[in-house]
Amino acid sequence: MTSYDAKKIIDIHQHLHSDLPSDPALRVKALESLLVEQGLVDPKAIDAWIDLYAEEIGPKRGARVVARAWTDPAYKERLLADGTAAITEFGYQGHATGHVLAVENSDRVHNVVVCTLCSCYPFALLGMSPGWYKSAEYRARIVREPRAVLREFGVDLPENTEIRVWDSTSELRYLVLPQRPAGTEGLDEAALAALVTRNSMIGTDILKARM
Amino acid sequence: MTQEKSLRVHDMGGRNGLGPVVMDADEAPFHADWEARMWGINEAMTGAPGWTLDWWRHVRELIPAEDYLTRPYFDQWMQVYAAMMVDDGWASIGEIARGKAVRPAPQVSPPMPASDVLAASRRTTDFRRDTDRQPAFKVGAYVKTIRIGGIAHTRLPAYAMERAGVVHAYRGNHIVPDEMARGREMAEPLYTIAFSRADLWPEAAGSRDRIFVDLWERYLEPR
Repeated sequence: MTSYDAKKIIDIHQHLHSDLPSDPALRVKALESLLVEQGLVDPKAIDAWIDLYAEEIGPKRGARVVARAWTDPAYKERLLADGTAAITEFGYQGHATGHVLAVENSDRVHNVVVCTLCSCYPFALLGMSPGWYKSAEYRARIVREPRAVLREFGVDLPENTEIRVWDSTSELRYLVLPQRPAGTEGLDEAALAALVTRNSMIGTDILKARM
Repeated sequence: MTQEKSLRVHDMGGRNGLGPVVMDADEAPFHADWEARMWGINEAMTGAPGWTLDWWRHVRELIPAEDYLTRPYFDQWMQVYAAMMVDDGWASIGEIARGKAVRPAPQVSPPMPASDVLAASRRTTDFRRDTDRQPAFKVGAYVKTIRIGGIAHTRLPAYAMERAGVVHAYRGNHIVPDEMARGREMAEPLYTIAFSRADLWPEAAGSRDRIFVDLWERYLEPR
């Protein structure tokens, strides 16, 4: 039975700290061996999950959603009204996308997303999260000094642009809808999607004009 | 000053003393085989009936501070699973360390086969629940957040405790994480609260930037 007892868990963690091998690769290998022996995991299913998130599910999905929103005003309206329904039109629903909220950048507003308490991220839409997103530095600083952090990413915003930081403390998952870069009027949806970076959909990148 | 709040290591928002953000060199999903294996274990393994999402988060939050700050991200996931298995009596620390079972395995149905992975990857979870609860606060209402101390799980970040904010949106009645971390499912109104950055940080006076935090009704008081 699960104890839900924090003090018991703290005690277990202390023992794990001293009794487990220190190399993470060895620790994970031992865990997998045990789980396979216990019949709790099928290693082929692990392979399948890895393949899926290495090949299929990644930021290209979000990029297609963004490009569609840029080129199809009715789709953009649906995306802003109900993000989960709008990504389901592409078949992109899945992990951590039950409550997707798209937030739109403009000349006056720049949005950026964080999870200060852990690492919440819309996996089925953007794939695995980047290391920096999970780092203590980003989680600590983006809610306090967003302009300084964004400058580290090469994003320098005018003082009169309002920065909105969205802290993912619930099961809502935020997708930043970046501004369509200038000079892309002639491009079709696929060409536009190729311009959209992962970081621009988290809010730590601004897509450059194409001349 | 308020005691207790912001002492928990995982509650990072606003913490001082951290350096520049180190960017990833590429967009690769995994940077080591063991990271990918741990991710896959997390997805494919059969868990105990009591392992809720917020219990998982709570167990990670209870990792000793030195490990939380220094151990790689997916290594912390390993430690969460190890701790939950020991807690449920599914394995001893020695069995986990050696990767070898001594006692009989827990009696559960067969694990997820590879053929189920695609369908499982497309399933979403809806955290809203239909209840009679009507939201106590209207959009635009001025609210103040409460203080929560101790080590129990909560999704009210310390930097947003005892602060004045404005209700930006009502999001429906969502499962309350503080209860889910104890294995209890109940739902109550969830709001997105807008805080002025200037109201959160002493050095940010005059800033027009805003921080939006999703908060449950129990964290809020009228002001």
